[in-house]
Amino acid sequence: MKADNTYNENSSSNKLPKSLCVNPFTVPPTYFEELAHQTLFLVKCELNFPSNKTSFTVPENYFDKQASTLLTTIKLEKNLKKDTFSVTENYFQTAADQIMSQVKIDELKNVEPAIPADYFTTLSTKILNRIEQSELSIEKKDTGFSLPADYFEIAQNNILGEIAAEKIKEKVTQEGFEVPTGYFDSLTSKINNQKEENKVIQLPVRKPQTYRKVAWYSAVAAASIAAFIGFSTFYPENEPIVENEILSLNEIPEDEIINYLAKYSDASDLQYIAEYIYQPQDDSKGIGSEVTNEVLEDYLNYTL
Amino acid sequence: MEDSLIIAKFTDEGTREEAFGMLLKKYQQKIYWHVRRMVINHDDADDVVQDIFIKVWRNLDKFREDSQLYTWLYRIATNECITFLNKKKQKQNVSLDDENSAYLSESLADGAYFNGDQAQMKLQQALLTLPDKQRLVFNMKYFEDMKYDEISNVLGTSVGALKASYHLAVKKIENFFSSHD
Repeated sequence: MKADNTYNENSSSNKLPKSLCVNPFTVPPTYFEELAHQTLFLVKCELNFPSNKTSFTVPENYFDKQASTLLTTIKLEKNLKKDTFSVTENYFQTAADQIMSQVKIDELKNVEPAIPADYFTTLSTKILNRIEQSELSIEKKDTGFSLPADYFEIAQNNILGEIAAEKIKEKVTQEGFEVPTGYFDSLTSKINNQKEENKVIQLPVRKPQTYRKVAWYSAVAAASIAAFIGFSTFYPENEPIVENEILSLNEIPEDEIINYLAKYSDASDLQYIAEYIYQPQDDSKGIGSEVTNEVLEDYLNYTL
Repeated sequence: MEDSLIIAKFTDEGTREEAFGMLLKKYQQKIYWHVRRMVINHDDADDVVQDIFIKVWRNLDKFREDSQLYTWLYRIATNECITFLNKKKQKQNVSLDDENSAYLSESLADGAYFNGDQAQMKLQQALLTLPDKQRLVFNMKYFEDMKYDEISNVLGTSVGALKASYHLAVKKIENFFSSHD
């Protein structure tokens, strides 16, 4: 609400010049509007919070005690101003030395001692190793178990190796090899066919009661003869006469024949052969002397 | 299919063929891959595998069951692989004491029945830098996941030596990968 300018009210009788009828005083802008609000606010405060009523409280008997508290405080301040403390004899003479010593100690704390490089980075590992060793020695005392020399070093290498292998497996997930389509289905029949095609004079099944050494030995002799016949076919200058070869085998030690056979068979055959080697009688004509032409011919038919 | 059943049936002449069929069904793929990893070439592996099983047919009746059947089979297969590889070296005039298997690189390079990516080819090339027996140990441990005790029974080598050989092989392969990146 704008206030009307009432400055010149009731001044009509003064007969002042018009230039002096101008109000020389000014107020801040919106002063009168704010004045109304402020006045109303104060009225509300007065209504809600009468000046004779306060919301602050004090402890019981506060004012009664206040006087004595104040007096005590005053006395304490007076006493503090008096010099009532004492010091030991020559305190101040020694105080300086003590202070300088403490300063030097503090300076030393700031000085770093010389330590090996990477000391702290390896310290934790060393401590853990010492702990492990001490625990291990305790275990050794308790359980009686011992370890191979350099066990932990070897174990560490093994573990690192396994980790490296795992890393390779992560890089290479498959091998890459392939087989022709249907290969494994046909492999079984191939093996069975070859099994039939490659039938040789089998060494008899080991039967403790029915085993016949003589027939078995004949097969070994026949094999050795066939080997020499094979040799003679590659060297035609030698006379490929079977009867002569049979007779010449008498001069060859049995060990040499076995070694020759072993070269062309696997160790299991050799072992089997060695177990059942025929021991010729004193009057025997030697190896091959009891091989008949029929046995020899059968053997050659199967192997050549 | 229990190995003891196969052996028992093989002992009886009337069921020998059946037992051999069971054995083939159970082991032929394992033996094939064991051989293939060593000889690389499929046709060579085919020949060697057939020789192995013919030998098994001939000698299974002599198997004394003082080891597991598959250990015995692996022993035969391993010996046949080594024999084949030695013959191949002789044919190519490579020393038997040669410290790597580079003579097989041609088989790998021709790519027959090999469909691996670059990483897989690199691994096979890395393996060919190993001597045959070390490669054998690596294959059995890494690809076939055999235990050291089992490998020891197959090869007749101590467990400690096998571990050392394996980890040396892994290290060489790692170095190969690093130098060929």
